[in-house]
Amino acid sequence: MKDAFRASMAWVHTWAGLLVCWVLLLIFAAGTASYYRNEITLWMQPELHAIAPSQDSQAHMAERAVIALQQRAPDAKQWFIGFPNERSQGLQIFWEDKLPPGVEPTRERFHDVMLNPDTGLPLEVRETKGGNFFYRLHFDLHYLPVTLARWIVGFCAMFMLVALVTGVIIHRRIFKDFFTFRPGKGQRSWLDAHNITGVLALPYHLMITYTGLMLLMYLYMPTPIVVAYQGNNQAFFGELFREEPAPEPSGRPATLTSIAGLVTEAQRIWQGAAGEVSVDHMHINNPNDAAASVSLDKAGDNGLIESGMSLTFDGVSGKLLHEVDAEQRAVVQTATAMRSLHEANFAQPLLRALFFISGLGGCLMIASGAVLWTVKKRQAQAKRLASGLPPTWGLRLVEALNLGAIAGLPIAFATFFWANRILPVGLAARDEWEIHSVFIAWAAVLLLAQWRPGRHMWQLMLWLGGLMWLALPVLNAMLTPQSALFTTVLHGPVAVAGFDITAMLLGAAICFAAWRTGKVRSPKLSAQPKHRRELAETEVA
Amino acid sequence: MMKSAWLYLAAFALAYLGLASLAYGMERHHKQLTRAHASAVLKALKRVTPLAAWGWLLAALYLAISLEGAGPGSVLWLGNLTAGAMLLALMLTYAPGLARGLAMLSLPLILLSMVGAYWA
Repeated sequence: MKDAFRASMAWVHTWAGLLVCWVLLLIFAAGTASYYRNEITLWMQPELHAIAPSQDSQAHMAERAVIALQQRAPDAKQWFIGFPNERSQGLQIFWEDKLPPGVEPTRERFHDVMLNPDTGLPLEVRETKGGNFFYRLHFDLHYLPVTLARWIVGFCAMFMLVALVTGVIIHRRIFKDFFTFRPGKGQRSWLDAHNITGVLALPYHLMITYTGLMLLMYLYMPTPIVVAYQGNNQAFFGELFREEPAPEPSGRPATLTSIAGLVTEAQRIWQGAAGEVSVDHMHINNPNDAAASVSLDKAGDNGLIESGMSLTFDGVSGKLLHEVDAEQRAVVQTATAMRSLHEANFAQPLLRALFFISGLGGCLMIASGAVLWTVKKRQAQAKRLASGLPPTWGLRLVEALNLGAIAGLPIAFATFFWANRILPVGLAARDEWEIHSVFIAWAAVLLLAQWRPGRHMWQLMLWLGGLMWLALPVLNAMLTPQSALFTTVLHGPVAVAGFDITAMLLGAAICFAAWRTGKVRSPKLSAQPKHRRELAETEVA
Repeated sequence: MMKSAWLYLAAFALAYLGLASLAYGMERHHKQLTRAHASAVLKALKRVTPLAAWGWLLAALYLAISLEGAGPGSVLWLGNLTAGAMLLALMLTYAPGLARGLAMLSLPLILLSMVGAYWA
């Protein structure tokens, strides 16, 4: 009875995992990279590296941001000011154009400029999506309508959850083999690798999959909102987050109150006495209009729960209109705790590194599981293969997809960073071309893999990927010498040095994998006639 | 800052020591960790260490929570366990001597970091 149950769960585990493993690998790898999305963005904007963190007060910065916004967009619908923090040195301003009635809103109405926080002058930064590319990629994919992409990702995540639970059920020796890895033993080694990366980071895998699904639950389970709010999502979120709807502009011009004064006032309210309480960001609705309002959001403390505290002031009189303190937001806090856990928003650098390591473990678990399927299938088809017949089309397909997805992924991701340094700064739609180059590189590997899914191709692609990562710091030092590793190690920014070092470590690990792929041969292989050996070489052991 | 750096190191070392103690009680890993030496003392140790392991692991949890608070602390503990176990598993396979050395080193390391934290 117990064994029949296990056997049926093994079937579920195998097929649920295999069906989604390639997309899952992409989601996991991009999601893991997203833990360092600000650091990645910084690395990809070498123009910002020479800027030292500002020591100035937020009130002064707000003043400079307002001057810059008044110059650029006095009639905007809303302004946004994002203050520098530990993970991003620039002062961000952002505005949304007011559209005449009847005009269809497009993304063109948003504008984004990075300022030097000490001077208020714009920083000339190359166009790039930076780490946000990976962040978007891991739930919106690319080249697909967002809603469709999120359904695909949700489908894959659900299968992941099924695969995790069934995986625990079918693992007979979960404690006995807890620390066991036996390399160089073919199928045994792949199973060990799959088990060990799965079991040791199991709390992470369960958490990340579950919270990931939860984050998009309003999309996946829309019925409650459809029934209770007649499908008016805005009304639902407005009530949930207790957001006051932004006031309509009155059309009467008015002088904006001192924004710097409001920053100081907000810090006073939050701290009691004025001190180092920081504002995360602020919105100014209807600037220079009689109906202007200003809301400030407090930066989160180091906790699982974001601060969620905000203040809204009248933009003309400067009177406090609305205050949301942490206690009022139990519902929101519950929702943001899930998000916080998923995105590691609360995590200091060490903890973030542990999330990153666990994420890499997840990638290895998915990749080793996918390879394990082909190794097992090859064993099942041993007779057929020994008689000189080619593998079945299903096995060949999975082998080729594995090669393209697993060995192609490091190449594709590295291409993103290569393109960032190599593409000319003035190129039109430069940020889009960085992304296109990722998918062009990946498509090339997938095609090569379909053409010849053998051990030699594995080796070639792994070497290529590994060397591309290893060479990233060299490329960085050659094309942007002021950001070279030996400079950043001594003078910062630490994040840029960390990126280069991580790239080298990843590159070294992938090169090691390439070297192992070339080295490991089954001992019987040399005794076989040549044409069989070629076939057997496609087995990845 | 320096003070908590010592304590974070101790939190990881405690987790590692706990995991290594668990491994010490398991047949296959016991052999790896003792180079297959068999003596009465080692045999007795093999029975005791898995029990002590739970103490180390609980101490690691306690320290992580006192550093980060209940929520993030328990996440830190799980992260330390994952990273520690991966490190241990890799070393048991490729360099069992190093796994043993680090386990023996971790106890003085924990004491040292406590002292370090006290003085910093």
